[in-house]
Amino acid sequence: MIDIRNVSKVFNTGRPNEFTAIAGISLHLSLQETTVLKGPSGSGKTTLLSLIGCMTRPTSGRIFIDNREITSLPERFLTGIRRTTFGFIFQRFNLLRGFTALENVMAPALPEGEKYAPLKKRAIDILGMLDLDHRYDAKAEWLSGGEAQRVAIARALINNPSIIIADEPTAHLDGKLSGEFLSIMEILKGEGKTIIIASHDPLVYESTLADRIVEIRHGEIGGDGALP
Amino acid sequence: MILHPAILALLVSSLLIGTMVLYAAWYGVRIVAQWDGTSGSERQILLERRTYFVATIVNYFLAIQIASLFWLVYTADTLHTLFAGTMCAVGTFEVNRFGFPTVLIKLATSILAGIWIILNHADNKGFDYPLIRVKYWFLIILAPCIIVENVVQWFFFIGLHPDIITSCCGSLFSPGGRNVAAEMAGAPIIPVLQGFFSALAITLGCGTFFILRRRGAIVFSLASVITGAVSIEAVISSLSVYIYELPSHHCPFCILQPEYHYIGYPLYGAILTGVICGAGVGVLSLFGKIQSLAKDLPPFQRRLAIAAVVAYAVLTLTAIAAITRSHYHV
Repeated sequence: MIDIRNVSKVFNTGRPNEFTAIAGISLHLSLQETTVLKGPSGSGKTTLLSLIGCMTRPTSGRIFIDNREITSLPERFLTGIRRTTFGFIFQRFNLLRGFTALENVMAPALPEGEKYAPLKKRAIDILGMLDLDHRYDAKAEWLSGGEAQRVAIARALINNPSIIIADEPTAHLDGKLSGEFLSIMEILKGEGKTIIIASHDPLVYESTLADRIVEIRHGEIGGDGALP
Repeated sequence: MILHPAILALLVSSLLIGTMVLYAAWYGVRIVAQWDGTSGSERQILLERRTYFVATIVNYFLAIQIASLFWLVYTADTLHTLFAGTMCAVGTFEVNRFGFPTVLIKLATSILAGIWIILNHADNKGFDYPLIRVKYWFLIILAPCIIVENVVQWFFFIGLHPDIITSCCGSLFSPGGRNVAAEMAGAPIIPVLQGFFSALAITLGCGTFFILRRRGAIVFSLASVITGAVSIEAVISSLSVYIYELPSHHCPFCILQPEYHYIGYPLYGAILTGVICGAGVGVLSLFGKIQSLAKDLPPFQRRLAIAAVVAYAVLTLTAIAAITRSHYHV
């Protein structure tokens, strides 16, 4: 269970440009389900994802993952949780230019100090699962949009996280590639991963992947319901 | 006041340390009064975000505080040529009534600073800030001590004038005198050495036992602190005569000079390390039952014990070398 309790996030507190991105949201997300955070640009979806993924701290409120409170943790503990609990898929993929697909996939695991050979084998296996084993030595900038997206997914999976967080993953993809992305997510969901996606793409929130859609507007929950 | 670069460096560093520690102590008062780990309030989250930052900065400033003890002694030793009648740092400290209080208070605050650094390190090992109140209470007590030291040190430095005729170490640490220094210097050499090496043997034994069996933390801690005090007495009354090869010279500061191969620095460095790390083992054992520290505290205590044992082993070997290489025989 991901338990979000009365969480707020205010940027530039006390300044003229103070902005409340999240305004006292409380939410309970079940593990091994797919939740889609739906809402227009600027509604607070990405901020909420960042808070759940330990990439930023709330201004107030607490977040619990599997009954463990994460918002008070010192940074060095958060780093470990980010690395092992979450896999992140970003809107623009954020692959490292100049590095190969394989190196990009291995990058999040390198700080763990795992031996190189088994890590490389695991990365190649994941790329193979995503039909990219023939492109593992291609530089990030040589990859097509679909390939870059799959490398980003492979990178998110390298540390075998239990929770996948994806921020507007289909925003820069055509219908075919978006369909491919959703198919991959279906497979991961079948493997028991918890998936949280922020998207305002109907292809995503109207897909069979979504178990639950949470609508966010102006930093508040506008509509929340489990799908039939 | 003498505008010597070393004095200015000490004053500036003391000002910075004092300011930072005061700020941190004020912040500590808020932590002690308002900390509530179960709350998700804006105030609590702000405290959590700032404590890591404040504690990290204080950690480095207190490390400088420990280093400044040696820097103060080195500076006093360097300046002694400016005063008539001096041979070493003792003469500089005797220029006015604030000299020795400065050294003694700085010694005390350095030991306390070392223990705070150990507490802070242990606290950072726990995910739930397990020693947050303890370390800030400690800081609230330590801060006034450091401020007092800064004030005393300030009066010491502004009272330094080159025209002052002062006492040399020979008169202060003379066995015939009637002050504490003279009484320490006049203690019988052989019994003090016997006590010194016995204390070292007991501490090394307790330390080794703790490292191997993880038992007896408090006994080892007490032994380390007592051995530190005994070692200071042994340096003044007994080791000094072997190092100087003079039966009447007991100065604890001349051994910091190049003529004696700066042997005082490893001796005092080992004593300070032994006391701080040894005391740290005992202090941490008080928190052994905290669940979030259960995994990380024992290896940290073990590392501290190893550091204390190595320090006292260095002290033992240095003392033995000083005695065996000396031409002086009791």
